[in-house]
Amino acid sequence: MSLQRLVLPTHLLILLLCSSLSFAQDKDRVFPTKGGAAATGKIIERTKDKVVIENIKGTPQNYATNEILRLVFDGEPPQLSRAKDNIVQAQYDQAKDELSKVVVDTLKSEDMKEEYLFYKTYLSGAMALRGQGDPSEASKALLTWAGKYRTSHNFYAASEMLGNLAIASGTPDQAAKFFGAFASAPFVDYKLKGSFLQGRALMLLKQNAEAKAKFAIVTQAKVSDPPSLKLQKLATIATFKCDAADGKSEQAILALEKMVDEGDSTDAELFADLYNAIGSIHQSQNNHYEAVLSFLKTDLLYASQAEAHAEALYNLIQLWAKVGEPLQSTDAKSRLAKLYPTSPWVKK
Amino acid sequence: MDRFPLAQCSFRNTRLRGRAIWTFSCTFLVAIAFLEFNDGPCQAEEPTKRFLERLKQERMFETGLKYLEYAEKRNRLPASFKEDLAIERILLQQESLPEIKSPKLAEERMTSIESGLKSFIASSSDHPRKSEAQTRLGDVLRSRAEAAMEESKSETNQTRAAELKVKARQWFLDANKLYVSINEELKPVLESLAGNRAQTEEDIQRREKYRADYRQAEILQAKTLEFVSQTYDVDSQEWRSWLENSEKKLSEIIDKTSGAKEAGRRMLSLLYRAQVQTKLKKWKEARESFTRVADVNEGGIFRTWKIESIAGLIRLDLLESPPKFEPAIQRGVDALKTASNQEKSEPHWIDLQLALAEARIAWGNSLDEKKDDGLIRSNRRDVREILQYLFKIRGPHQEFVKNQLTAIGLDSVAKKETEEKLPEPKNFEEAIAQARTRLDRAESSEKTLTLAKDEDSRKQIAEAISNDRIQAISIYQKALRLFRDSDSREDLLESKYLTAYLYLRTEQYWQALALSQAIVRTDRGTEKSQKSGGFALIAFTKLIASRPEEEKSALLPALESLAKNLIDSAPGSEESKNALETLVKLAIIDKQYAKAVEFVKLGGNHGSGASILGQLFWRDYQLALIEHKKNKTAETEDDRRLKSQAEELLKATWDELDPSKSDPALVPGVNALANLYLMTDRLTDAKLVIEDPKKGALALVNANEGLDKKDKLDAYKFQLQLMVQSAGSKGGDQLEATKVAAVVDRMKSLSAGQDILLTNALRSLASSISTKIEATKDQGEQAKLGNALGVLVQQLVSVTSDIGILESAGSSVLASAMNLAKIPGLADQSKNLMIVAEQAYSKIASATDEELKAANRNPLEVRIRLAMSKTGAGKYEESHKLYVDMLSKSPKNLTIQIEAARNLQSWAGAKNVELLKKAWAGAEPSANKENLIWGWNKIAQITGGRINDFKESYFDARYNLALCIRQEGLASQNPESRQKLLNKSTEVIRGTRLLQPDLGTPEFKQKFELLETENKQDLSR
Repeated sequence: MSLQRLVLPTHLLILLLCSSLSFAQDKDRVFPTKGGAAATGKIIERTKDKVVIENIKGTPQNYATNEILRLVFDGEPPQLSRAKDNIVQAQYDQAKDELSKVVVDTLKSEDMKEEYLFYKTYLSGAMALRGQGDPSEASKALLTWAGKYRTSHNFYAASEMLGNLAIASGTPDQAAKFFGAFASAPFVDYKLKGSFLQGRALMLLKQNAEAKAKFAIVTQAKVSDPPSLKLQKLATIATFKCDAADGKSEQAILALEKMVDEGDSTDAELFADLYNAIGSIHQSQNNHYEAVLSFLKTDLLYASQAEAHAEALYNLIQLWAKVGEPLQSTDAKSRLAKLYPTSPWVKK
Repeated sequence: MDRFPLAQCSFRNTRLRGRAIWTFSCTFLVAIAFLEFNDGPCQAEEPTKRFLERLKQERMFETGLKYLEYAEKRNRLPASFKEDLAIERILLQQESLPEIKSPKLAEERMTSIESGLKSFIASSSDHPRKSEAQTRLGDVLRSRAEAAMEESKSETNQTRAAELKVKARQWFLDANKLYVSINEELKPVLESLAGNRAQTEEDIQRREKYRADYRQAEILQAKTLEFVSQTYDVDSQEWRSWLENSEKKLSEIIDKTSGAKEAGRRMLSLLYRAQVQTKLKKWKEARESFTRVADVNEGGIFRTWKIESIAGLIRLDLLESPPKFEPAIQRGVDALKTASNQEKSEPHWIDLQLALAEARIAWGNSLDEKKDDGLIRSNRRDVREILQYLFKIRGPHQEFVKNQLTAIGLDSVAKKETEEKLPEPKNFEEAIAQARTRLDRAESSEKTLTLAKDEDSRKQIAEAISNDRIQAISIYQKALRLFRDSDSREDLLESKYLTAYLYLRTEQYWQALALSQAIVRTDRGTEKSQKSGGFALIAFTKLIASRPEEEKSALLPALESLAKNLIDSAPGSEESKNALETLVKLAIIDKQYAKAVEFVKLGGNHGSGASILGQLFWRDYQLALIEHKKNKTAETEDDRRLKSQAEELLKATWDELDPSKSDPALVPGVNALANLYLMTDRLTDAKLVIEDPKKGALALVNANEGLDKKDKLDAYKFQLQLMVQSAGSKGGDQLEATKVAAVVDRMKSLSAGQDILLTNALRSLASSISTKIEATKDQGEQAKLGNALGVLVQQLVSVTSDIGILESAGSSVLASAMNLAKIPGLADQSKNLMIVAEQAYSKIASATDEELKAANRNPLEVRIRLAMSKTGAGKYEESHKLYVDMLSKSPKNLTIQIEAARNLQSWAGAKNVELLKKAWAGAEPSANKENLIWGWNKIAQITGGRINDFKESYFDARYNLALCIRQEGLASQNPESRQKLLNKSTEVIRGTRLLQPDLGTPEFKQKFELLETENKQDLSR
């Protein structure tokens, strides 16, 4: 699973459509995740689960928060709008630059202030996850925001970010709670992703039975859309990792290998995760060379998956040294530092 | 684009022929580039082919082989790949050949590849990759033929030259036959797939593959015909005939290839044909063929062929009448300008530089010395620069270059370079280029130092080298000042790195240290940073070596920081390992053990530093045990921690030990671990550490000829100890005499000339076993161990007549027996060992003094030990006679006097009044009425006069005096005499106390007081 996917809430993931110049800055707007034109009018209701916008004819339109890419409020400074856009596209440096130009005192409404504060703290978190900042500090700021705006439509995005920051700060117990809040959303995709993330946090706490229960929520769900089907496969991989941690390493490897045999090896995200999982189990069994070969597959075949690749390189640094190939180990170290200078794997 | 067999492998220059394996690899390099793998877009299986392909691209062939091994073992290979497994494995092996450095291993692998290919071809008649395997087999055959040709040129093989050439010819012909057969087999298949006959996508793919194989085989056929010609004398009829065949075949291929798609095939054939035509002296035709290739301005392999053709054209220019020197040189200079630094060391570029050097040399020789002096000098300098550059590149060209350099002479250039002025670069780029020229020149010149005619020229060259390096540093420093943001950061790093290197080479260690450490800190994770770490370490080592002991520790913090940086940025690298090792050793020298432990942990608890530290801890633990034994105190928690630390370090070092890269310094650590296991009765672990066939102490000793003899002997000593302890353990097998003898014989041969080592080893073995016996609580086990030691020596005695071994064994068992005698309840055990010692000494008793001296043994010492062992074995009278004999020759020898008195005392057995009296009052009066045997009384008088020198002997004598008198009294039938003697015994004790109130040592004090109490009790009865 890519870092990107863990960092950004789903509803911010889809590329933002370019704002059309025909939209004047004098109306509220709701940009949907599925694309298409933004709904314009007056936002009359805003909760953590939905946003209601009344169009020019006075007809209210309901948007579940998982269907919203971002909002723009009437009279909002263009810098703030651009910053939101940049954040959605993970262009954090530009976003920071834009946000720094926003004069807080000129923000006309409480809604705008709330949005500004959210994006500012969210951005600190996203940058901290990239190694540019302290995750604990970012977490504190976001938590303060969340305490103040409990019913914000950004609530789930904040929960997910808080979970990720807790993982980065080495407090997976906290992460599990935040992901739990994310999973409590009334949307199937959030429920599944939240459960998956919760499971991963519980794995870090070595609470394998609880983790497996969370993964089971994902694997047993009846879904048909490609992102959810992918998530199910990733949850299956994570379940086998739990089995391995419970002493069933050989069975876990066989099961993961079966997934390799039955999967599509051109699915880089799935296969990078599969080979990293197999590699880590071999590593835990002191089968160093087999672990090398697994991580090497991620390295040589699925380097497009940034986070999985960084993880594979990190493990190869240790493993190459163990199998008596110090030069390979140094090479892996150098590539990790060069390719992913801000990755948490570099700092491990 | 079609396949290009033998690309990059031109052989027209005979000086470049000595590279059979290299040639072989070149073919592979190209073959790899054209290897086809067809993983479809969606693959529901392990992506084996893609993974292998990537491994090959990364030149990770050995990893590829391991992958196949593991994947096969776990049944992880996709069904679609299984039928290719055999050929894939062979191809990987073949491609890995250039990576194998050892000729022996390369030859072994080549043999395995050949048989693998043959078996694959034989068993896979319909396999789609059969023709590929055949081509590969052809490569092997050709490679073998080339090796035989090389061998035939060696001076030592002149008598076998003809025979080797015949062999080579046969291999070339076999290869040719193979290529012909590929074409014959493929022709009908290709016809069956021609045009519309290939209906499916699979058919079309097969056709393309077969077509490529067919074309490749055709060119190979033509090339091997040329190779066959080489096995005949140049200009012979056969030589000409095979060359003409080759030319004809190549012309046929050229004629039938057309269009851009077949450009590669055509160009390669043209290049080969030009080479053949050059040999056939068809200058015009050759020029035309070379020119067609040289005129192509494409990249990749076409550029390689272009360079080869230009070299060919330069040589043709020189063959013109009159020779076209200047156009030839211009051609070479122009081409060389287009080469990058890295390219210049590639084989085809080396050949071009050689051609250019040849042209310059020929031109220089044609010039008039008087008229063209300046031209000659500048031309010579250019030649020299080319040759010096080429000399530092390894390869078969070196011999030619060396000869040319020697012919030109080095002195003049050295002088000129020394005088060269420091340039004034205008910008960063210019500065680094100027510095690099000097650095490279210094490096090249250094390699040619050995070619200097005499000491003077050597000095001149060395001066020029030094001057170049100093100038290079100065220019690099200037470059750093000239650096602007627009300049390359990579060049900046390289400049710093090279400056650090230059500081090192000019022995400016502080500067080298500062700069290289800065690189390590600021450019973490880069190769340069890692190498700079190595520089810093060398600088540290030099600085440390030059500083007084007390100042060495001052460098520890800086070294520590470097080591940590290296471990962090380049884990597992040689540089980081070396840094840590140095750190550990420095800390040990400085007795900062806690620091040493910390450093060792940083390095993963292994390596020679960890081993040394482990040995130190183990030694300290043993010393602590000795202290406890002396003071009768128990092992403390600290001692146990020490032992456990020692074990942890020694074990980790052993676990990580790689026998193929083993450091001889680790062997004492392995011995120490064996010792530790033996001392703690972990015999299974000890057996593994001693006898593991790959990295056991014995295997390491056998693999490291240069090891210290003591370390070698220790390994065998521990093997003996293991045998003894195993025999002494529950259910242990009896010791086998032949096995014992074999081990001791090996020890004897290892200690050749230094018997003292063997003796010490055997004594220390006996001492270890005695300690073991003492430490064992169970008397049954103690007895069993004692027996095992006795058996060890007894069997040794039975199989050897070697004085050295017999004496060493005898003295070790004697020492052990004496120790056992001190343990209550083990008197019988002690006596048994004494009997064994006596057997050993008796066996050498017949040796003359000369023979004993020849065996580096002191005859008197041997006799004393013989007598002592006889006493121990109960042969008192024989012992007495021996003492009398020895004392008649050395009456004042205190050791003999003491042992003679002790023998009498033991002989008396506390009962024989007469012998007891002799023991304390003396015996064997001589003509002057002086007793030959002094007895305890006189011994005490003599030693009492020099108590500081003979403290132990004095108290021993006083105690035995008192004891003998007491026993005499007790044995006396007369009550009055009994009373008198018991009082006398007490007086001896009191007299001793009067003179020495502490009674010597606590042990003696206790013994004296016990005796006094017993006397008192007996007197009151």
